[in-house]
Amino acid sequence: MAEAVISTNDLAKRYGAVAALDGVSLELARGEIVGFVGPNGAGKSTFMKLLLGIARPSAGAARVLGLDMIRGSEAIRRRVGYLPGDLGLYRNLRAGAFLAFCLSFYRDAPRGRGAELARLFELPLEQKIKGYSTGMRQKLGLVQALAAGAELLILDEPTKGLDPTSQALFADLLAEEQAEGRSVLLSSHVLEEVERMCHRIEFLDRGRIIPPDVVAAVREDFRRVLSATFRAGREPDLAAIPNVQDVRREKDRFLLRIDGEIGPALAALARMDVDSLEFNRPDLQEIYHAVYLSRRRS
Amino acid sequence: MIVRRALRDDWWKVLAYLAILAFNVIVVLRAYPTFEANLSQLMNLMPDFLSFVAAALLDAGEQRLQVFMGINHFFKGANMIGPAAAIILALGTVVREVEIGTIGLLLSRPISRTRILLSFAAVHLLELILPLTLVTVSLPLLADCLIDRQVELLPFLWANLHASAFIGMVYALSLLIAVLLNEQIKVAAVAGGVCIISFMLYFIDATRPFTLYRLSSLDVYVDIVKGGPLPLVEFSVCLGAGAACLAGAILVFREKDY
Repeated sequence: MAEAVISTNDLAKRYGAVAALDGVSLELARGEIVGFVGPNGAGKSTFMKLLLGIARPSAGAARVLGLDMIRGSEAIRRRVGYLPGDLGLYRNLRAGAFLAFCLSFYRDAPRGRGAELARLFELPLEQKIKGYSTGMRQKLGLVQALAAGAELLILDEPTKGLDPTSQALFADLLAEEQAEGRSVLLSSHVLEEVERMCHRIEFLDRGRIIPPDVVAAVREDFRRVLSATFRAGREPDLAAIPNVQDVRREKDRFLLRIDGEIGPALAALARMDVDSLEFNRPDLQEIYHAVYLSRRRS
Repeated sequence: MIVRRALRDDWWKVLAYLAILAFNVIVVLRAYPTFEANLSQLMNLMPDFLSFVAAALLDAGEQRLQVFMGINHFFKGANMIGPAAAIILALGTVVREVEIGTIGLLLSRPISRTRILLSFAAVHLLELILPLTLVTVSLPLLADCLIDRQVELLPFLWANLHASAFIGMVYALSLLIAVLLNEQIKVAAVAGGVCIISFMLYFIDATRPFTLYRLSSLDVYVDIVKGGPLPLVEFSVCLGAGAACLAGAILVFREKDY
C-alpha cells in the first residue's frame, strides 16, 4: 500500500446548525489523482479548506503529507499548491508581480517555472490583472498553484472558465505532475474531465461521501441494460426473452433491462435476427445523475 | 512580500496623510501673526465649548506659539487626521482580502496568520507614525521660514511620541474590528463612529472623561509642549489598550474560518 498523502478520519465542519461536512474519511495515495464531484454545497470546497487550515474542523482529524492538519498546518502549506474555488486576485498588480508574490512564500519553488507555465498558457505577465479576462485569471490561478513545485495539488474547480485548448493543456500538465509522483485532489462540475483525468472519483452529498457500494450498485444497474437493434422488417418477440424486466424503445434501438441472470437473455437474443447488441456503458454524467436523483428521491 | 505589497498599496494614502498634516500646520502658522495680534478679540468670539482652548492659549504667555502649534498639530491635526488614516489603513488588511476574495489564497501560503497580521500592523504603524514625525521635526523650520519665529523641538518630539501611541491604539482597535467583521463598510462605520462620537463627546464637559480623546486631550498636549513630562498614565493606557487590541486581533484572526 502506497503512503497516504491525505488521510482524514471523520472530518466534520459545522457552521451553526448547518453541517457543511459531516464525517468524511478519505485516503489519497502518493501519485494518485482523486476527483471530488457533487452538487453545490456538497462540502467539496470546505473539505479542501480544512486540509489547508483556512477553516478549522468541528470534529475529526486529518494528516496531510504525514503531518497533523492542525499542528503542522504551516509545514503542510509549504508542500501544497492550492487553487481556491472562489479565486480572487489583486487586480491592480501586474500578473508577473502577482505570481512573484504568490511564489515568494515557497522556498523550494522551481525558478522560472511560473514564467514557463505562463508562457504555455499564453498569459502576458506584464499586463495588469484588471485587464485579464475571466479565463485568463483562472489560468493565472492555476499557474500559481502548479508553479509552487508542491508535492500535493489541491485544486478547487481548476478548469472553471477555461477554453478547450487550455483545458487540454491543463490535463497534460496534470498527467506530467502525476508522472513525477505528485498527488492531486481536485473538484469539478465538468464530469467528463473528472472521468478522464482522475484515478478515483468520490461522490459528495450534503457533507458526506456517498458509500462506494451505492455508486457501484448504480453502475451495475446501468450495466444490466442491453441495447439491441434488429434487422429491418422484423418485429422481435421481446416477451420471449427471459428475465427482461423492462423494455424501452429509442428510434430503432431497444433498451432491455435484465433482472436476474443475463445468460438466458443473451441465448434468446442470439436466436433472433439481431443486428447489433451491446452492453450499456454509462458515462460519469449518467451515473452522477442516477446517484443524486436516487438520493433526492429517497 | 506582504510588507512590500502593503507599501505598494498604501504609498498614495501615506502621501495624502503627510500632505494634510503639513498643510494644516502651514496654514495655521501663516495665520498666526494676525491671530496673535487679535487674540483678545478672537477669544471673545470663541464659542463656550471651546473656552478651554482659548484659556490654554491665553495662559501660555511667552510660550504661546509653542502651545498654538502643539494644539494645531497634535490636538487638531494628529487627533483628527491620524485616526482617520489609521482606520483607512486597517481597512486594507484582512477585511479587504475577504472582500476581494484573496483571503483563501493568502491563508493557503506557508506563513502563519500571526505573521500575516503583524506584517500588516508593522507596515501600517510605520506609515502612520513616520509622516507625523516628519511634520513634527519640521515644525521649528516651518516657524522660522514662515513667520520668522523660534520654537523648541524637544517638547514637540515628546508630544509626537504620545500622539503616535494614541494613533497606534486607534489603529489596533480598528484592526480588531477589521478582523471581527467581514465588510469594509461595516468596519469603517463602527471604527469611524467610535472616533467621531468620541471626539464630539470630548467637547462636552460632562462626557469628556469617558471619551477616547481623554487620552489625547488638549491638556495633555499643552502640558507636554510647554516642557512638561510625558503623561505616563495616558501614555501607558494608549500603549496597553493598543497592545491588548492587537493581541485580540491576532487571537480572533488565528481562530477564524474563511
